[in-house]
Amino acid sequence: MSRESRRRLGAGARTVLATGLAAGAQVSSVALLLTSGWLVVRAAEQPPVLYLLVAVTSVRMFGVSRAVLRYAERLVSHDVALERAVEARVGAYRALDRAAPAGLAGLRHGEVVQRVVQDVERTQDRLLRVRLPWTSAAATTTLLVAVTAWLLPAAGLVLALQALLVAVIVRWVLPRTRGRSSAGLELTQEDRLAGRVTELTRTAPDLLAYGSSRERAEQAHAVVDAMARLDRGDTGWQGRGTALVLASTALSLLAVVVLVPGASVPASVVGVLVLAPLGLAEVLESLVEAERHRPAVEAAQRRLDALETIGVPVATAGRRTASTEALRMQDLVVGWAGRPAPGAACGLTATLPRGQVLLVTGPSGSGKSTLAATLLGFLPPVSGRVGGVDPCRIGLLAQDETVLDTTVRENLRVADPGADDEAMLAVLDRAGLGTFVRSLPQGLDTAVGESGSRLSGGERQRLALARLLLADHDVLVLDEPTEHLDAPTAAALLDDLARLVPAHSLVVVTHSPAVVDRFAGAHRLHLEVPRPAGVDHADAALASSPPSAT
Amino acid sequence: MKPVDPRLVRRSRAVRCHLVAVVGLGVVTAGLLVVQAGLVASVVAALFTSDPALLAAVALALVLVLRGLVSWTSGVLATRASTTVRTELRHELVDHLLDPRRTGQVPQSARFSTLLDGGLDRLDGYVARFLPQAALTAVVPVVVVVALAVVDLLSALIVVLTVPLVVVFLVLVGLVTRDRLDRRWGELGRLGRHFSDVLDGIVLFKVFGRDQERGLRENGRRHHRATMESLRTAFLSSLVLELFSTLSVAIVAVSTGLRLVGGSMDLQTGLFVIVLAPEAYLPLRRLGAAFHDSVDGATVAHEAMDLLESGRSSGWAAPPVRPRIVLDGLEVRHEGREAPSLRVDHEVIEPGEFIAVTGASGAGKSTLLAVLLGFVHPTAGRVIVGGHELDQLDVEQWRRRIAWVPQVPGLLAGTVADNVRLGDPDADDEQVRRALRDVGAADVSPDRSIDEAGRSLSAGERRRLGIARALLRVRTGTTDLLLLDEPTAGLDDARESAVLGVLCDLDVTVLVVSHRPEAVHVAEREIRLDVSSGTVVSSVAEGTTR
Repeated sequence: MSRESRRRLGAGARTVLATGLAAGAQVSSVALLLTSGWLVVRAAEQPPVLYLLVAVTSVRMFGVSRAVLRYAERLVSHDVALERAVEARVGAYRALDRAAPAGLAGLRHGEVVQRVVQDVERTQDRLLRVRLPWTSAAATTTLLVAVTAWLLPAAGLVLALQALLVAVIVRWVLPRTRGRSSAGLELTQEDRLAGRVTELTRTAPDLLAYGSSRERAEQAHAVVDAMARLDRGDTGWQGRGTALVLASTALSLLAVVVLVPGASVPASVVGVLVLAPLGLAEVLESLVEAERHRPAVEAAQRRLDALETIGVPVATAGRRTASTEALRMQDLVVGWAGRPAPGAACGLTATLPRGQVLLVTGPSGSGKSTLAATLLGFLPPVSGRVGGVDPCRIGLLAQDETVLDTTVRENLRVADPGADDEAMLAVLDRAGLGTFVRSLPQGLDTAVGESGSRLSGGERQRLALARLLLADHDVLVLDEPTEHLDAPTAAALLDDLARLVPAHSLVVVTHSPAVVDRFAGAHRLHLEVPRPAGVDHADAALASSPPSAT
Repeated sequence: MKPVDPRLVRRSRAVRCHLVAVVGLGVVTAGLLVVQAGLVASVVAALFTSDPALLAAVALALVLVLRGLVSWTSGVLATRASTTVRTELRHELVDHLLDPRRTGQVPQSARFSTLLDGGLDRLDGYVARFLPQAALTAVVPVVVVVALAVVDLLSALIVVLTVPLVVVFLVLVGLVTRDRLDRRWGELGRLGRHFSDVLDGIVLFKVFGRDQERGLRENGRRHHRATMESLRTAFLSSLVLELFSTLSVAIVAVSTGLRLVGGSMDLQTGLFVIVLAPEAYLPLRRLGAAFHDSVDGATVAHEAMDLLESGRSSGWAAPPVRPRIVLDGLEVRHEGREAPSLRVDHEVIEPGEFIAVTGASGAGKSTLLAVLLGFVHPTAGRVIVGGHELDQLDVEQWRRRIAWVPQVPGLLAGTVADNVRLGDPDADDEQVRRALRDVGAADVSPDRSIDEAGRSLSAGERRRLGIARALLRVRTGTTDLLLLDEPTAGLDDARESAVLGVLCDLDVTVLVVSHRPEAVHVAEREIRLDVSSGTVVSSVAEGTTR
């Protein structure tokens, strides 16, 4: 019997099932206490043993059913929660994918990733640790109140009032006495403190080398103390909930004891009536525990919801059709957050016919990389137009490429999931990394480490280049392609790049004379920032030489 | 997974005090539970015989209120202890990270910062919940058994026999399922990381137009299935725990009931037994639940302890001025890597030399600088600085004689000037401006503010700021070694030659790691690193000398 063929209940039905099982387990637990109480008191009346058999069997049954129902409930509820987590992951991915990379520019990528992963995990607790405890507590309380009211209506009323009061206080009053909460993606005070600590850890090597680590350590200690003060504001919240439950139990117990002698209840049920408030206390304590988890769960949910609204969505046309048209820029002004880059404030105009090369040059900081991001459709133009080639037919080799924490093979498969070893080694050769990868004992299956940390800077960049070469793009944007390569490798790479030309169009962003020389006949676009310098976004002049033949 | 890290208990006074407090409160709680059971029994017995029960009921209410107060107190104490432990650990981690004499590679900042901010919060489940519950588990069953033994030996005997039996069965189930779970664990970890990998590479996937939704769903399904399979096994232990504890209680209840029917026991005793017996198993059941909370925290504690365990440099010798540096049979190996990360057979660096360090990617260029800075200890071989071995030198004084430009200079929140002044805190505005101008960063205003992630600077600006910082330091005159790691990458020609020109004019020993022919060109000599052959080709660079 394969797992797929087995008919599964829908998520909604399984949630109901889990709720039922959870309530069943809790009811068994309370019933175990009450039946034992009845058994003992009834036994004291010394009836024939036969009269006790039902109670004896019930005690055993409730003992077993509590454990078994709880086991089943945990399996069913985790099943539902895990299934929902998949949807939560896809939703978070969709939101981030829509905003990336422009919308993520203001957020630290690594930390956003970590938080999103944790938050998705957290939202599973919504069902497991918040909703199920509440629904099963409601069911159990109702049943308990009903049984008590049947035996002695006034006692039932007392318990109902107690349960209602505690539930309201635990849910709505006590949370107000808690300090912290965080909403959305904006930074809380804690986050800001954490940010300062992170800054210190990142700068630690510099601080050590420059001998100023001691004074910075003092600042860090001050930050840690500030964090501790925030934490202390939170003290003792949970203990208050339990204290409330026990104090209210004391009151209803007293009330029950006062009520019993006046009522005509059979002596055998006084045990049940006295033990009922104690059973209720157990149920109410599970609410306190549930509320302990609520703030974290809700904060996580809010942050995930906030993901939907980050960043500027950039329209991504889904068609991946090959284009034979030229890449055209018309009065294109590029920049981040609507602020024109210094070298592209006056509008760039250029045409790159299919199969030719466009060299983009300009001093550091003039906006060359911003132009590259705009061509790929990651960034909306500040004004002007770019067109002719679908952004998804344009590939990019950025200056600091992402390398996934997996094997060389998996990193290449991003570009072409169907590529075989031969194709992979071929592109590695073209990027000057083939010999290195062949020399590794595990070859293509070598793990590259977190952010490619087991590779050197140059190896990382060449792996990224190989990946780009493996993909199917019409236009390749190469942002300083030879930056980390030594001279012979760079020269060989330039030859390989030159051979790409009839099949692909290239946009080469560079300031290296070797690259400029190699593509001497290319179209050129120069981003110029006028001196005198010192102002960040001065008016920029632009020089775009007329197209010439390659 | 060990639930209690003994290193944490040993290290932290707060944890030890907290342990004493929770054990004390545990004893009080256990006592109150016994009294409560006794009062419940007498209230019911009184009501059963229609005797006045109000006095006992008031006493019972008082005991319940007292239990509430104890629970409140332990809540406050637990949170306080947990905060104190976290704060202590954070202080220690900061001290440790910024300890100038700490030896070994500076740990990955990501690991450290997660520990410093959110990570340690997970200790809460461990310190504030698991430890108190563990104390209760140790104290309450013993007190309960003693109390039971006083009134009814048989019930006490049942509990005494079954509690260990529950533990034995737990261990057995644990042993049987451990292998299965361990096997699953690796797979689960891998599947679980997939999501974070996808988010890490989100830009990359977008560039390549590879939509990950299907992959996420497929992986999610696999993860779901694998998790459920391991949960089916993992929850077995709590099933056994529940089943055995409730059955044991049922045995006590039934035996009590039968003896009551037989008249060999009075009602009050029977009730006392029936109310108290479950309390012997309850802490064990709750401990099982708290254990899940604590696993996270225990992992964090382990990680923090591991980070805190590293050596300190004990060097004391004052570093010589303008030393000659000899690298002799130097080798650095990283764990898990077959080839060494750096190999230098023999090399002498004369004072005042301008040397280009070259070599293929992965030849150990940056590692060589890290060795000279004392961040990385050579696996074999020696570095001799003017007659002293490097690790005999007072590392703080030695670093005072070095100016270093890493590949990605670290930035502090503040202004550009603040960051340049790291090189010389006493530098005036004019000196800062001059340093920036000299490295071709005149366009970077000293007053420009920098956020903590350094996003407001481009990679090139950041690097130039790093060089300006080093320049300022060299100009204080107390520095005689300048180490630069790819200082001109990302700079355009004009700026590169300006920077190289300034470096050439300095009267210090310069080691510049670079791929760029321009940098090699201005150097007096080239050290070409090669890990595989282990030889160093030193060549006098053709062309310009200073």
